[in-house]
Amino acid sequence: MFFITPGSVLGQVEEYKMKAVAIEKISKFIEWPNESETLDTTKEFIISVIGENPFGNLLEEIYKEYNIKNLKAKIEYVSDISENSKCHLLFISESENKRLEEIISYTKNRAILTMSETDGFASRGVLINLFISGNKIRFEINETGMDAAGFKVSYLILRIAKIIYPLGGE
Amino acid sequence: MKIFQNLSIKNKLVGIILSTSILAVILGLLIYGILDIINFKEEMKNNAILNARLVGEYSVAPLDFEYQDEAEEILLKLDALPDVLNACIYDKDNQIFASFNRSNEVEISFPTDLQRETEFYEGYLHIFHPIIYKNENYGTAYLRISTTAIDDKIVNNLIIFVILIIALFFPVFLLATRLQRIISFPVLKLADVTKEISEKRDYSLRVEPFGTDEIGILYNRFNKMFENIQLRESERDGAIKALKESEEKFRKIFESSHDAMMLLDENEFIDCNNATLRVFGCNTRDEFCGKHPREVSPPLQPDGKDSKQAADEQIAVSFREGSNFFEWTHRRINGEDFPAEVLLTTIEIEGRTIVQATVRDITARKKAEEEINFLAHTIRSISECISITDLDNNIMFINDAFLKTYGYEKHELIGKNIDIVRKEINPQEILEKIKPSSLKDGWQGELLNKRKDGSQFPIFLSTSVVRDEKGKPIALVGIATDISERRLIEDELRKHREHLEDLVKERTSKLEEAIEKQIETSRELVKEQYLMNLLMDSIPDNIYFKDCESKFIKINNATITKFGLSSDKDILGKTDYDLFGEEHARDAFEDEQRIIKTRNPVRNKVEKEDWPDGSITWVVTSKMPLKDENGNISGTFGITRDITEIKRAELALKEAKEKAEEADRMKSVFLANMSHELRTPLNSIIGFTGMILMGMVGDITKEQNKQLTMVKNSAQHLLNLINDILDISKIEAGKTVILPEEFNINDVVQEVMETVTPLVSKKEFDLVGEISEKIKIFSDRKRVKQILMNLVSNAVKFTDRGSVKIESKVLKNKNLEVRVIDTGLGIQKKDISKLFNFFQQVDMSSTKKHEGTGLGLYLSKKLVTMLGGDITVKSEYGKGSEFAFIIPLNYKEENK
Repeated sequence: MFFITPGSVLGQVEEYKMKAVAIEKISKFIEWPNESETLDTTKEFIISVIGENPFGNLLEEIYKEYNIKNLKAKIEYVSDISENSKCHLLFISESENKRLEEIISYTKNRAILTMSETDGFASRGVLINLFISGNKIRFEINETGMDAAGFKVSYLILRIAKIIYPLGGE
Repeated sequence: MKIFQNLSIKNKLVGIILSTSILAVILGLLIYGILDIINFKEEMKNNAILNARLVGEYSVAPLDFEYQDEAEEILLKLDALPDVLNACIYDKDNQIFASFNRSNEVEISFPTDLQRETEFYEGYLHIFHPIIYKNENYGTAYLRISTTAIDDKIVNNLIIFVILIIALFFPVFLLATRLQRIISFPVLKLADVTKEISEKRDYSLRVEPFGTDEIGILYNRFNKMFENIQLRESERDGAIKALKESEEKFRKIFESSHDAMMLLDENEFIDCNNATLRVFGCNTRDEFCGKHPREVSPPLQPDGKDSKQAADEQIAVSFREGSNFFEWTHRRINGEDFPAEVLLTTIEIEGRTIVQATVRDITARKKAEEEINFLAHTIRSISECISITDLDNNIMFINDAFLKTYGYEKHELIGKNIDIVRKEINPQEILEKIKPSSLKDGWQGELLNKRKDGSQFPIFLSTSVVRDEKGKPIALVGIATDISERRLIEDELRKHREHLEDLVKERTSKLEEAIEKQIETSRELVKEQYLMNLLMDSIPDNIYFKDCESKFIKINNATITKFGLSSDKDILGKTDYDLFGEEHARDAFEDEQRIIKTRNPVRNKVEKEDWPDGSITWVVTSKMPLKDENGNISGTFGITRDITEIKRAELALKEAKEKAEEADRMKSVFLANMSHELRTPLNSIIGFTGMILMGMVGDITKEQNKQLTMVKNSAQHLLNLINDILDISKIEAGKTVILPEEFNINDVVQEVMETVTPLVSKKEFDLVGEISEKIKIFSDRKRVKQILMNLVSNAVKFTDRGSVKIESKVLKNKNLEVRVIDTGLGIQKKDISKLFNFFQQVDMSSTKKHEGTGLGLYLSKKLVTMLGGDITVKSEYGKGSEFAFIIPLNYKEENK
């Protein structure tokens, strides 16, 4: 299946390739809470995709060659947040719109970096939200959410990100 | 420089101080200024690098996410730094990602070669700084920075230098003008005093010293110098006076000397004393003075040198070395030459260096010297050994011949007692007589002397005494002649004379012996030759000699006959090819050539000889290499014996043997068949006789019973005999077949015992079967039983009292051993070996008593052998026998 989204001249495969790559790029500038323990160098960096998988097998293809945070990547797919026991990064599919709050409350205190690609998700508590603008990948950062979860974001990336403050003023 | 030298000391000092100070200031400022600029540049570079690093760091994320606008925005911030003229960011692939140009600057093309280090060139500072985040390279930041600030700095520094130098000049000048006086004042004062002294010639004036520095020392030295000059003045006056006195003294010595003394310069005599006039035969001084030394010398000196040249050389030597002593030949005015000793010394007279010559006439001394030399030389070169000793016999002189003869060095003998060469090897009384005799009118005689190496030799010694003018003896002279050579010759001559006669006698007898021996040897040779020829010609075997090409050289009589020749001359040059058929000739030729090549003989080779007429003979031949007296192979020789008859007999014998064996086999076959045919009627005889004895036909009388029993027994015996023969025949004819089965040996023993029990019951002994366990065996049951039966019935047959025992056991090597032990007759040793032969009973004469076929043991042995075993016997005559057979527990075909 191949379609063109309004305002974009990118193919869908091209777009998700960029998003898959962005996962690694953004992670590089973010320090996990208590990183020396949470990202044990002897283990793998686990990326979990919840809901409908928009990437196809792009994630596997890309992270076969590249490491994330100097770790080998392992990709998991879950349909329910309760299946997810241990991951470092959780990509929340658009299909989880209704269950978003439930997911956020699960990840909040577990040193899991949440990521999405849906407009409004950042203001609802997702820490990073990816979007495409001018044929380039752009992203929103939920800075207060980051602070609260103990993630440290490099000032280098804050300059180029769009900072979002969640609704409800937690 | 010239101008400077002519300046006054005051101006020189001021000039030196001023120029030194200003040079120091300029140098200092210059070094400071250069260091300042270097520091400034370093600081500028560090600042720029810091800026480039900041730009790079902020560009990491934009580069990573390719946000060009973000990067440009970061670069725009450089606008706040006026020095930065241009800047750009390269990505990982060294492509320009974002750039910045100051608004009033021309846009430049950014460098594409990023290998350059950060440095100043083309009037700008260029900074290349890698952009690295978390060990990953994202690109390079480049800044181009204006260096106008450096130029400003240099100009500023120069202005400060100039002001400083001008400001320093005036105070330094004033200070130098004042300070120079410290040095210049005392120098000027010293100059004044010296001027005064030289003008007045008053050396008693002194300068007043006022310090101990170098100037003070200089004042002291000057004062000391003046003192010295004053002292020297007064000394000179005294010296002139002394000189005059000494000249007068010299003149007196000169005039009064007995030696001729003269003075001369390089060219001629300028003065001489009275002695000179006397020596040279002149009348007045004027006659001698003005002459060159050559004019009072012969034209040539004894060594052949020209006198003028030689004289000038000697004068030159004296000038060079101060004095010169040499011998010279002079010539008097009257033309007479005389030898002289000349001493030349240089002296100073009235400031002139001249030569004083002293000439001494040595004519008389020369003559004496020559005489002594001649004598000494004569004595030294005499070939007799000459020694001169003092009156205590201590050696004073010895000549060369002495040293050579006695083997000493000169210094080893001088001062030693002469006894060193003769003590202890001559009778003491002779040695003691020598000295008194010598002192009287000399001593002569033969003595034994020894050399340094200890070897002794005879000498003839003649001594005499040496006296001084007053007739007092002062030394003894001894002349010794080595007479060992003479002695030897004398001895030799004497011995020779004595032995010559013996020698002649001895030689004659030896010669006779040798001739006799020669005759004996020839006689023996002739005898040997005769025996050899006799052997060669009488022996029936063929003997022949051949050369290297296998051509006959010599053959014996037997061979002449064999080849059908009339004389051994006919064979010469012939080969086997001329005599035999091709086959034998070739074989023989090859053998002989091999022998020649390898030197290995052929021994007792059986050969077939074929002849041209087709007949064949057999021979046995040995051939050897023929060696000449030097051991070289010169051919072969051989000896051949005819064995044709033996060969024929051998063949006939072989044929006969084959025939006999065939007949024997035929006989066995016949017997096997015959025995069977014989048994049938015998069985009828036994059967019907038995029926009659049992009374089945009708009653018979006692006599009839007795005779019929004999018939039956005889028939039975005949049957046994036939059975045995049948068995043997079958075995020998190769018709017997072994039929193995598994059975228990105990059963067989039991059966055999039961069978023989009727025989035993008639006698007084026990029959015992001892079997320790059940022994299973795989073999031919019938044959095993037959063997045991034979052995047991034999034992029973020959035993009257005691016992017959049967024992069986399994041996370790998987064999069964069965032993039959009896206490019967026994067998004599000589008979044991014949026991198992065909038709053999031990005591042929007693056969009648012990009935038997005589085939039993022979048959048993055959059977045991067939079963793969062996049968043995042990016996002691009169006490009993023990037969044992051993067969494998498991019969196998290949055991046969």
